[in-house]
Amino acid sequence: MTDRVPERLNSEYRRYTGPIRSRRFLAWWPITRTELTTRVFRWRYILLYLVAFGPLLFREAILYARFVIAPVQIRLMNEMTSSGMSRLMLWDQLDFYSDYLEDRVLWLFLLLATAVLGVPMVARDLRTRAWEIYFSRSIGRMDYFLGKFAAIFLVLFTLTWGGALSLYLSTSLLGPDADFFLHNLGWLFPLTLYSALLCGFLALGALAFGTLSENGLLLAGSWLGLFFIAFCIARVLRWVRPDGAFDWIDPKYLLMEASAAIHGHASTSGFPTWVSFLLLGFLTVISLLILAHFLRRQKEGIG
Amino acid sequence: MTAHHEASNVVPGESIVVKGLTVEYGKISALNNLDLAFPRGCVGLLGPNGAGKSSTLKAILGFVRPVAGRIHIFGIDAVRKRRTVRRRIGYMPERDTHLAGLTGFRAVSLAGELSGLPRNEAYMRAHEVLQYTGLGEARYRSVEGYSTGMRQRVKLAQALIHDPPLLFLDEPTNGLDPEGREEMLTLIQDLTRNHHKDVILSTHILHDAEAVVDWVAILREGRLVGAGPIQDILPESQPLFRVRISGDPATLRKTLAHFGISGELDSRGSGLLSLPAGAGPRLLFQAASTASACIHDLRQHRPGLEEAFFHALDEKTEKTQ
Repeated sequence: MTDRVPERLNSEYRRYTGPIRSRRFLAWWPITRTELTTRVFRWRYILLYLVAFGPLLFREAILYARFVIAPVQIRLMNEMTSSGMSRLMLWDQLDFYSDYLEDRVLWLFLLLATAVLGVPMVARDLRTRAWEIYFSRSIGRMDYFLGKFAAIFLVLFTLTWGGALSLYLSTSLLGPDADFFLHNLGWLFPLTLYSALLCGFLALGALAFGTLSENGLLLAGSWLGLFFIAFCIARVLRWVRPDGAFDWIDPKYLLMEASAAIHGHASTSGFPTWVSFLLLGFLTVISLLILAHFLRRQKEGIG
Repeated sequence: MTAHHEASNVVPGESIVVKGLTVEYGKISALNNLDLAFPRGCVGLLGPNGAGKSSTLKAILGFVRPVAGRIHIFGIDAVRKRRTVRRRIGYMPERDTHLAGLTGFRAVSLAGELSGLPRNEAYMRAHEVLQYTGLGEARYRSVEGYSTGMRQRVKLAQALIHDPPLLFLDEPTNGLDPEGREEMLTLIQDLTRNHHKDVILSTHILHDAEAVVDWVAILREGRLVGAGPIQDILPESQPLFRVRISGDPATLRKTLAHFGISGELDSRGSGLLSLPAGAGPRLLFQAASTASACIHDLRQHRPGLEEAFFHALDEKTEKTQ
């Protein structure tokens, strides 16, 4: 960062004689960097990030206790505790890491992060008409959306995939088996795939949702409200159909079903796996259509 | 303020050539077969609301794809090579547009990076153009805390960051107080006269256009109704005076005609008189003295672009009728 004032500065207009890049593969990156440095990494969101790190720190603490502090006591506890707790001890299985990605607290963070950071991104630009500045530059409209999408995606992905990777590395370093890292390297593929699906889906949805109005606060509230209503409806329908045939109404179940298929563990929902992928695909197409509509609308609204 | 039209600064050659441009929004036709060649220098794009000024700019910038027609900017096809063309254009939007949450410096340097400047160059250049536009002291303040005039300057700085040869300034003095307006016009004049920027100035404030532009194009209902050097549109050859004279009307009429002064006086002796080319107010006093009349009020009348503009519109209307 060169915030210093250049020595050659004065009030005369000077011609620019430096380079101008013509074809740029990462033309969207300045948008992402600006979003990250000026809007995402702010002190006001510190509580949000602390919540986000909660599940990771909790699991790291378990690993540390398991391998370093009191292996014997933990093993005993593992045998005695309920299945939910004992699952957290299964460090030598993929479920330990995929469970992290399905953690409720992490899910809460993902929803809050998309509501607070993601949804208002485009809404704010609509309010301030900043897209006229963006679109009059030598970048394409896709670059604009890629820049915004990447900013949301990177935050979510760092916390989800980065967390899972961190747990995997901790186990490799602290665990008794020196070959753990290499033997289970294949686990990283489903973890990466699911993290990308989870973060990509939410980031795209938030971005598309953000184009619907100029009022970022209203949109953020509506975004959270949608998930809450879906959750409530799914809960009510659980009483009607205890087998969970309508669980797909809740986006969390939808993603958990996809997680089960990707990680190869047993399904906890009462609907077929293909329904999960079909609906996720459908919602993605809807999001893309909303973005396309937004672009068409802006084309005719400029100036 | 030095922003007054002095002499023609129209540079030979053309910055933009538009041929048969037709822009439609659904069934509404915004531009209808527009042929226009913008000369180099400062060009004013004038017209009432809905005339097609913004649509012309939108089409040139590539925001809308024309139904028909071609646009060439410095010889480059603007319809097919939009990104290439945008590197040569600096656009200052009409409305209050800003990047929320950013400082003036960040907002301008981001605009530079998006225009293809490397990061460090964009930072250096942002300092320079902010200083030039008079925001040097306020560069680290949030744009949202800027006054209207400061936001206009930020927009100008963003348009200048990549040093484009062509500037599109859409209503650059909107919302400015008289002092801010004069300063903005001075900046525009400096850019065109001293730094050889080609400027397309879209405005409905004819005083602004009159102050800085060398050539004007007047649009109405998506069609070109008049275009040419500003001195051709401003009838400056014959001096005009608004007068109030008391005396015998018949004698006065005869005497004025004898001195080559034309124009009509109403029953109170008030009216606009046109003197022969090169004549001054002394001629009027001579005529009044000859006719034994008394001049009570005498003011030089300088027909503005506004009159010429409406005159052009009226002529066009008469022709179509």
